[in-house]
Amino acid sequence: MTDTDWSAQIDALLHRIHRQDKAALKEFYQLAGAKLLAVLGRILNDHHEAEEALQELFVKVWQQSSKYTGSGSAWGWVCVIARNTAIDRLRSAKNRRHSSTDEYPELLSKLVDNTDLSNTHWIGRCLKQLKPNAQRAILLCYVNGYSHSELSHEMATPLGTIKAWIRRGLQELKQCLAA
Amino acid sequence: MSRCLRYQKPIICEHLANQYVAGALTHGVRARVETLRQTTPELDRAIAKIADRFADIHWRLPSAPLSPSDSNDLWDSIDAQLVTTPIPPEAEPATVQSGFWSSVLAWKLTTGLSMAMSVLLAIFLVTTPAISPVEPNLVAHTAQGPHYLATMSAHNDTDKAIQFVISAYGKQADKPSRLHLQWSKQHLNDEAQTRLHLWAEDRDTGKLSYIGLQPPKEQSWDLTKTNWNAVSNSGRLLMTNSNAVPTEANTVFSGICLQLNAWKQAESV
Repeated sequence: MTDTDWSAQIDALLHRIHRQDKAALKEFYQLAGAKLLAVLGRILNDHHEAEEALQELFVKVWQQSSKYTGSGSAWGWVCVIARNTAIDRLRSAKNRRHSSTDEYPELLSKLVDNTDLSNTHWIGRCLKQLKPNAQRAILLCYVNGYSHSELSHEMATPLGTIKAWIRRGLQELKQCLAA
Repeated sequence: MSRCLRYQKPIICEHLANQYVAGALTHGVRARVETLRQTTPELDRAIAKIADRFADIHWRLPSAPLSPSDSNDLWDSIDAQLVTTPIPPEAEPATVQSGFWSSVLAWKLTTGLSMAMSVLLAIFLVTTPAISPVEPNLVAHTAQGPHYLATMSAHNDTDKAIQFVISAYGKQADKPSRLHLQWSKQHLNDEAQTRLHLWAEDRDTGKLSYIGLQPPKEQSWDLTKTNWNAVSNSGRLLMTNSNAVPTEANTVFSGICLQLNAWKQAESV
């Protein structure tokens, strides 16, 4: 299944979920559950915690499907809820758990080295063009859920510099994707 | 106070959208953004665009290993929670076309809230009791009308029934900026017996500013310039039972703010 077909299927399922179709929610779980568990796991870095968060996420999707306005994809909407769910759990946890930034090179290689350069809308193509620091800061923030202050600590860099890297990096991504 | 025009500016939308998608916002600010995106299409589109960019990454990265039995167990847990967790009223299906149902529902909620606030304001203006000698200036303020109005509900009330309003009046030539708190007739018996602390939550940053302890009824609630600015820049007011920073535990009332009159900087304290 192509990503376009998969995304269209997710869109259709969310539309049915909005009409309180529980069978649609189960299909949604079967189609996207493992991917969402991975989204949560990359932030929480604890499988059990990620499973708990996944349950919380699906209840939220069930309850809040009416908040999806139709702008953007349903997958994008759910990913934001998933990340916020994981980040809320991290914030309330006494001991914050994070993936080691040593895993970052593997993360980057999965995204960047196998980039389909012909796909102008694929963000990985544009990530490859960023300066290493901006690339790392953006991925650790948006994929692993690091806050700016955590990034500052992990990368031993002033907070202002981290924010500037991310701000400029996002601007360059936007320009690259629009090109 | 709510100025939706502000969030139509692309730079502000994009900045807020980036922060929102990155999960960098505090809980309160995030909730505010989620409310705003229901009524501000520009902000909604900006968030959706950035969310989709990074969702592409999540789609391409490997899925978590999940055995069929673990998957079934997880689903059973989810299913059980769906049965026991009540669906909030706003989650009920709308009867509008696909792609439009949420925006129509948001407009219905916004219209309903605006109508409720207009009715409350009318009740307030018409039924304002005789002004006591200690508040002679409120007559002049009332004639001008408040600059800002916040409708306050019990913080943990999911229905958000409006119990009282806080009106903010700008500085006049010889009168300071001040707040006026008035309970609705239906909730006069609910009026807090102890004086509460007022906080203003900045609409853009979520930063909380302490406005002060509610004065005794017979005293007016004058505002310093700093506090007036905090109130006028707020998206939400909160009242707590202590002077500690608002939390779910100590917040008694909360409510969103609306700007009613064009605010001129020259009139500030």
